[in-house]
Amino acid sequence: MEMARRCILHIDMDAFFAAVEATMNERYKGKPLIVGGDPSRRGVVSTASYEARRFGVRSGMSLAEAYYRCPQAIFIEGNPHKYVYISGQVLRIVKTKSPRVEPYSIDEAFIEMDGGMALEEGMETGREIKDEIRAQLSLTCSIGVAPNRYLAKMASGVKKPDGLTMLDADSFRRLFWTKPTDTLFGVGEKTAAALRTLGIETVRELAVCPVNRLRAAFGVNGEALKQIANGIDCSPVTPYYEEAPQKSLGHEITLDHDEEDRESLLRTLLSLCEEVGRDLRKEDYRGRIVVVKIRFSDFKTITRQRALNGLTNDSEGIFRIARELFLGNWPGTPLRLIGVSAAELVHGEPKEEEPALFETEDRRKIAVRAVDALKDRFGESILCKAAQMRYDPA
Amino acid sequence: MIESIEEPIEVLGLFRGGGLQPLRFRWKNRVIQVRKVTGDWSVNDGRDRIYYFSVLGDNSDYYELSYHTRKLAWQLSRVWLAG
Repeated sequence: MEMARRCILHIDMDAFFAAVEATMNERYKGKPLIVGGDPSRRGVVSTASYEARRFGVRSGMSLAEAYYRCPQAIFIEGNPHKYVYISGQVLRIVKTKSPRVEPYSIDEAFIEMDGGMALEEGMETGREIKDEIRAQLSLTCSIGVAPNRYLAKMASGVKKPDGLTMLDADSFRRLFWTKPTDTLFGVGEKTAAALRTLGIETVRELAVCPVNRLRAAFGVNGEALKQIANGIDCSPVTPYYEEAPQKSLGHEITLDHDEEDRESLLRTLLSLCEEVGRDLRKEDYRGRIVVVKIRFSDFKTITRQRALNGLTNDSEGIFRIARELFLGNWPGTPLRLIGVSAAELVHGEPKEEEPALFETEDRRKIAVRAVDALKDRFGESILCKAAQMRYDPA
Repeated sequence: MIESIEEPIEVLGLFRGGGLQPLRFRWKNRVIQVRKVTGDWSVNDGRDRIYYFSVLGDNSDYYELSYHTRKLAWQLSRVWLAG
């Protein structure tokens, strides 16, 4: 059966957060700029400008390491509101070319062009998008044009910054088959190491490896690995208005310093649960599972989860479970990061809400609704639980 | 170095064509002429909508101004000054 011809663009904003900052403040232009915060404090690099990347600074690297590699860089706090807003401006431009736009992250999106459009025409559209983004927002992006999502994503990374690359199955093989497997998007260090134990070093060796052998080593992911090494991907572009329901929703925080004070950690945990509950209620979701993530000072990370009897979006209910999970798995040693999330989400009201066992539960629901209404009107910082605040007798 | 200020300021602004543009503002007894608006974005805080403007003053000093629609008030949020 012949597959319908597709033309998909992947747009990737170049060093997005740093570029937005440099556009707004000309003192940053042409300088190594690192968005993430003060390097004397804890945290990681959100984005580094290309000038900083020349010194080996990368996203996700600790700020301390970034400072070690590039002490002359300008370090600034990020401003998510600013980036979300500008990201919306980028999407507004992109949506003039096709209604089928899937935001993939704050600085990436897939665009499916009308059925039957040739890749060469897609290149022309890519050029127009780049020109309009540059003219209206003074930002650059890299765009990949390909017959499927995976190849489009790989194509946008071929030439950065400010690239425009077309990649079909043939050119993918020419360009990538001789390269190591971790060149592929979705193949990380661990998978590449596991592939090496099978004698697979290059993308080509992965592409021609018998699927049974890969299935034996990687389960269902084995087949997916073989597909991507062959540049095959049938997944659809899901426009924002047909967005798939969320599977989980969570928050995590890297602590200012390695923390071992029980009260302080529980206070942080409560605040995270409050945020998760609030987000669930805002988005009209309820979760069936509560997950707690703990990262120790040596970066060892554990996640523990527990299923609830029913569905909840109640912050206190989430905190009760999260607290038990946390105290049951925290050995009292210093922690670097804590996270809480709700998983197995269900959208909308449950068909039959369980009747409250105690009158206080109903009273609490009324109180939660009242607090939500206040926050909707006056903002998130209008009030919080006393237990979230640090008691300072001075 | 960027500094957080969060101080109320007086701003002369131009409302035109459905948009708002700060022209000059007074901060610390000094009137600063907005040489260029380099960016803008907005944030909802409850029912308040806050419009932010990144602007350049003299010597390419950088300022972030915010206009709070509920309070009808301007603030100087952040600055980067020469020297």
